[in-house]
Amino acid sequence: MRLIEARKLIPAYFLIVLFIAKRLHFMQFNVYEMKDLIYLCFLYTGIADMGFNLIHVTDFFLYQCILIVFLGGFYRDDILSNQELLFTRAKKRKGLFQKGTIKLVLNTSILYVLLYGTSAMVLCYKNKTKTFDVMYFLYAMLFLVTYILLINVMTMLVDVKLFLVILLTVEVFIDNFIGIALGDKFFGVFQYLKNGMASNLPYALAPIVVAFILLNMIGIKIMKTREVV
Amino acid sequence: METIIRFEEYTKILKKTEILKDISLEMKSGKLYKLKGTNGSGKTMLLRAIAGLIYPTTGAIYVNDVEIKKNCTYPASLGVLIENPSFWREYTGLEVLRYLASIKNNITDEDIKASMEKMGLSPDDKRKIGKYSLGMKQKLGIIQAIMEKPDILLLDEPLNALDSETIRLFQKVITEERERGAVVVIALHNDGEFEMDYDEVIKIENGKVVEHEK
Repeated sequence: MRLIEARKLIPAYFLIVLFIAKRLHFMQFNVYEMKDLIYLCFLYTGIADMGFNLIHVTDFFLYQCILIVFLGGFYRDDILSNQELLFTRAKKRKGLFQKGTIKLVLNTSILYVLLYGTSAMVLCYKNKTKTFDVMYFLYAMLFLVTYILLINVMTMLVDVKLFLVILLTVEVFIDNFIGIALGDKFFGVFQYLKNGMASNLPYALAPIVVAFILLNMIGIKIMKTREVV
Repeated sequence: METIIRFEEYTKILKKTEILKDISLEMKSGKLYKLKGTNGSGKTMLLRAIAGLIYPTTGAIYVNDVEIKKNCTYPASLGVLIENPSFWREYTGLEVLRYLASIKNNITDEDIKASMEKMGLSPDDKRKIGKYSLGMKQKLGIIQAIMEKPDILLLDEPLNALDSETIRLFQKVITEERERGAVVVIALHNDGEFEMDYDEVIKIENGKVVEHEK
């Protein structure tokens, strides 16, 4: 019963995130403002606390994929409808969309970090009477901090391929070395993360890769057709 | 006066249609140009060509002696109002202008507010763009074009939805811009209450310059 109720919340969750994301315009050229980030932190913490652990992993990623495509759509519409205002202010024609795409992918990644991190922490908290161990909490924090640091570092770079390679490397490192070492020892939150998300690279990276490819395709298409009125 | 914009036998073909035909023009700093012509005559396309939003099929265009072609940079100092820009509805006017200004980051908040006041739009107005009238959006479009004090100012049908009082403010702004030394190009199909002493008037028909009064 509780599972069904939690599933009912997914569309609401989806719409709330979509609405706020649109409002914040976080996918555009400008970087996050701290207040926006804090706002999203609260939002995701709240959602995680509502019973995140009851949402099926596949559904979760499906919704994430849809969300990213929608955000990509908003991003594209904003660029298209304001192209004169934006393009004519840009220093360089080349790389405008790539930079925008990177920002979008990075910001989406931040959302993942917040979601994974907070859910891991919430699960730690909920499970404390049974299997709580300081290692769970540390793992969740490591996961969160590593990603935030990584993403912050990556915002200084413009090479998307390099970004993905490093992301993949860190994923593999966390999951296969630290993760498995801990996973063999503990159950509960780690097992959930390991089986459901963190160790399942295709699932974990698919939305990011799909978003990247789609937006680049859109970007390139716009770059090719933007002469046409 | 320095030549800022130079068209050399510029022709643009889009979808097998010649939208600009063999244009040769020079535009100089501190001068006010009017492009006139009927709807669809090619006025907007000429502005887009100067802005680097389209490239020539044959011929060339130079802005500050730099050729505008595929993969080149946009003209460095450009203020553009082409057609009706759709601003982000969830922002206030000041927020949109701040956002646009942040791309080049060469003006202060005070400059933005001063430009808003010149066009009769209050910087303290907390209404979102979604609640703006058509005239207010048009004012915002003009403000974003002038606020960075560009060398080239391209305005496509700037009088759309403006009331008489705002047209007077706009006349004053244009006079200031010309005196500052900007090349000001205004495309209009109907002058209405807008009375300006143009330096040159260029008439376009079917993508071709058919009259050029100096």
